[in-house]
Order: sequence, then C-alpha cells, then structure tokens
Amino acid sequence: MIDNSVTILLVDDDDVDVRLVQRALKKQNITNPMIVARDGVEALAVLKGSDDRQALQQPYLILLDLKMPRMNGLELLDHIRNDESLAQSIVFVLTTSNAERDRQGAYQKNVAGYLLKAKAGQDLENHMPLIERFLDNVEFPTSSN
Amino acid sequence: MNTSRVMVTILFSAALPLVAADYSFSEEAAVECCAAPADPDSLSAKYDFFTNFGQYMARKNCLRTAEGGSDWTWVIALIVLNVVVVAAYVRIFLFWRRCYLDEQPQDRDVKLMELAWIFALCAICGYALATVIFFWPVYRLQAFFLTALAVISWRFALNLEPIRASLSSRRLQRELNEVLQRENVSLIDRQNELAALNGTLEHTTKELRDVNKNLDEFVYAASHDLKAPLRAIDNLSQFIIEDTKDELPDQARTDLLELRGRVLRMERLLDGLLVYSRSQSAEFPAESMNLRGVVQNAIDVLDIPEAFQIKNLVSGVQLKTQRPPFEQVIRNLIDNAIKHHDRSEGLVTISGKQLEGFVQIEIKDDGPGIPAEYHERIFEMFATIRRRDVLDSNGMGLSMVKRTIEKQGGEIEVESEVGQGTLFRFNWPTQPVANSVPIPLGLKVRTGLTSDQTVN
Repeated sequence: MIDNSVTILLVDDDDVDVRLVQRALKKQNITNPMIVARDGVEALAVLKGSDDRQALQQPYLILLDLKMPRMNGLELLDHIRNDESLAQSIVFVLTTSNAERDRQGAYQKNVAGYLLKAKAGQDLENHMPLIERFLDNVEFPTSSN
Repeated sequence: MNTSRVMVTILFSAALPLVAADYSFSEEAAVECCAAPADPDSLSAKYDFFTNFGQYMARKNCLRTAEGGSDWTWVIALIVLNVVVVAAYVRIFLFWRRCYLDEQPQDRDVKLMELAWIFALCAICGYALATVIFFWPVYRLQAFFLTALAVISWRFALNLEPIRASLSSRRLQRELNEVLQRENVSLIDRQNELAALNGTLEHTTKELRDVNKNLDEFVYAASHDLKAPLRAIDNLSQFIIEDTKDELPDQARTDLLELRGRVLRMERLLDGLLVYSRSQSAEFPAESMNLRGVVQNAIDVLDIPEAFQIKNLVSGVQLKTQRPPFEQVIRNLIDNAIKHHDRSEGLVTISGKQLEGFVQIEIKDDGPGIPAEYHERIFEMFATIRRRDVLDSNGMGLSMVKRTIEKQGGEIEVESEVGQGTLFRFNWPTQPVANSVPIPLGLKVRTGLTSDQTVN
C-alpha cells in the first residue's frame, strides 16, 4: 500500500522533465499528491507558505533538480538545512549533472539519494520503483507544528 | 730551506753572549786586548773559532774616547738602535711567515718567502751581529751568515721573473675586480631580465589557469545546457511513441527511433567532451604502485565480453606515477581494442616493462587492423574510421589517450596492418612531469621504432 498522504514536491524548471517525472510516477502507479515548483524560490514559498497559501505539511518528499534559475538546487538545500522547521525534509536530488562537485555538494547537505535523470532516457523510470518503495516503507518525519 | 735549522742557528747566536761571559772585558783589559792576544787559558783562546780564538777585538773597544776607554754613550746608543731595528725586523719577518703558512700549500708564493729569508738574513748580518760584535767579535760567524745570504740572494736574483706576479698582484686584482664588476653588472641585468620574465611567466601562468578554469566552467555549463534540450527532445519523442501507440505510421515510428539514436550520439559526444576537458585539467599526486597490479585493476574494471580474452603479461615492477590518468589510458586502449574488433571474440595481449625513467606498455589485439593511411588520423579528436552509428563510440578515446600520455611527457605510437591486428605502444615517464614545463625534445623518450614499421 502506498501512503497517499505523502506529498511529492517536485522542484524542476524544465516542463518536459516535469512531464517526464509525472509520466514515470503514473506508470509506476504512484498517485501521491504532487506539487511542482519551478525553482528554489518557488519551492521555498511552498515549504514556508505564503500570503495566499499555507506551508506544506509533513510528510512530504522533495524531488530536487539542481540546475535552476533564481535559486538552484544546492542553494535551496542550504536554506532547507539551515531552517529549523524544514531541516528534517527528505530530499532526493534528481538531476542530469553527474559532476563530482554536485554529487559531493548534495550529499554534504544530507540528501537521501542522488539520482540521475537520464543517460539514455530510461533511467528515470528505473528510479520509480525506488521512490515507490521509499514512500511505501520509510517512516517520514512528522509535522513539527 | 730547512727553516728550523736556521732558527736554531739564530737562537744559538743570541744565546752565546750569555755563556761566554768572559768576553766582557774591563776597559784596561780591552786596551790590552788590542795589543795582546787573550789569555791562553781562557775559554775563548781554547774554543772560540768565531773570534779567531780570542784574537779579534770587540767593537766596543774600537769606539774609543780621548782617555782611551770605550765611548759608552755612543756604544749604548748604537746597541739600542740596532735592537730597535732588529725587533721591528723580527716582527715583520714573523708576520710575513705566518701569512705565508696561513695559505693553503697550493696557494703559497715560495718566491715571496725566499725574499723573507733574505730579509731575515740581512737583519741578522747587518744589525743583530753588529750588536753582538760590540762585545763578542764573531766576525767569522758573520762570514757564515753572509755566505748564506749571498747564496740565497743570488739564487733569488737569478730567477726574478716569478716575483713579477707578486708585484703585479695589485694590478691583477684590480683588473679582476673590474672584470667581476662588469660581470656582476651584466649578471644583475640578467637577473633583472629573468625576474621580469618570471613575472611575465607568472602572469601568463595565472592567466592560463584562469582560462583553464573558465574553460572548465564553460564545458561544465555547456555540457549541461546542451544536454538539457537534447534530453527534452529525447523525452518528447519517447512521449510521442508511447502516446500514439498504433496510430503512428511505421515510417514515422522508425524516424522517431532514428531521431532518438542521433540524440543518444550527441549525448555521448557531450559526455566525451566533458571527460576530455576534465582529463586535461586534473592533477593527481604521484603514488607508488605495482605495474602488473595497475594493469590488472584496469582490466577488472572494464566490462569485457565473455568471448574476449585479455592476457596480462606485464612484469610486476614498482613504479611511481599519477595513477588515475595511467589507468585511464590502459582502460581506454583495451576498451578500444575490444570495441573496434571485427569479430565477437578476440584476444588482447598487454605487455609492459620498466626502462630507464619510464615504463613501456604494449597493447596488442588480433582485430581487423588499421590501414597505414589512418595511423595519424586515429589520434585526432572525434575521428573514428568506421561509420558512427554502427559503433558505440564518441571518437574521443584515442585523442584523449594521446593527450594524456603527452601531458605526462610520454609518447604513443601504433603499429598495424590490415588483417594483422593492431599494436599500441606507449612510454609513460615514471617521474611525473609538471604540465607547465615542456620536455626538451632531446630528453623525449623514443622507442626506436618509426611509424611505418609494421608487425610481421
């Protein structure tokens, strides 16, 4: 059984990538609610809440792209880890970058996993069972407030 | 000249007046002495050869007053003056000799020391004995000294040329100084020039480093930015194929698959570019390792098809070098041999040995071989001599291998003939070479084989 209450926050600026993730999740029958943010600034607004919107409540899982305008993935991770109310967020990096510095930078900020979007288009779908099992089996942090 | 003997002689003559106390005559006796020989029982009459057994007269008796006694005022004045002069001479001589002995034996000027001895003998004959003779008329002893002085002086006088060097030493020193000063000035000029050059070099190095860093950043960004739309194209074509299912005409489906194939190739090129740019900028510390072990390691990491056999015949010598690039070169060459093989099975043989200052590795396959006209081209970037879509290749492998080897100061060459397999041979310096310092051509390691030689 998939815990439907876990919200997936997808942070990615590329429409096609967003669709790709959505399709892959659908293929895997993962029907958890999903929120899409276009960059770090938007994601932070979702996580912290804004004037017209309540802050996102735990449990949630963040799928984070690294290369984004305004605030990139690693910068967003800095914000999350330095913010007491967000520090326990579970974050998977989902990126095209296989650069050493990105991998190291992400793991230094305690991401749950570093997933490569694609080499030949198929990899992303291969990651979905992992995400599914994760949602299924891992106990998420409870909402702090 | 035996210096110690001369010194003893001098000391002896100085001490004699003390033991021969009976030479100090009274005034009366002195006057008598002029008229009559010494008492036949006295010591001098018996033994003193120097004074003709007491027959000679002491000089104090020669300086007479009107009363017939010695003119003591002048005798004492002469004696004091003599002693003063001799004391000065002794001081000069001793200093002279000490300076002479202070020099290293090969630096000592014998001629100058001979002059010192002449000077010393002059002092003895002229002033020391003159004093002694006031009381002890050793004229015969003076004759001996004069003989010695004459011999030494003439020996010196007959060979004067060597003393010129000593006399011109001031001039030589001045000239030397001038030359040195000139040299110094030009040396300082050189130094300044060098410092300026160094500054330029430092500046250029820094610029180069900046450019490299920028290039690195650029390649990193470009590869990502270029790959992003590429992946979008790939994904979108995949969406179309999935979403249209059977509605899509076969030709359109084939075209879309073809499109995805091209995207894949482009992606590989970009990946290769990225790896290539990294291989050019990375620096690693040199570490000690076993040659056979490194090669085995490289083989183990590779995904080698089962039908292929890899023979590691490398000798187990120790070497010290940067490990990652070395392993990468070996991996790439083995990978290359398998990738470009014309059959599904084959044999790759790796042999290697330690030579003076470098290791030589040979990687030989039994593949199709490379026609001679392509031997140069295979090392060019993006060059592959087979159709690209046939092969899982980005054409970057061998150019990267060559660049990596040359960066280390080594060389690579190929021996191949169609149908005879291919042999890649490279030299890898075991002392790492800093990449900013080009190896002078004369030091370059050569294998002694030219590229047109082929395997039989």
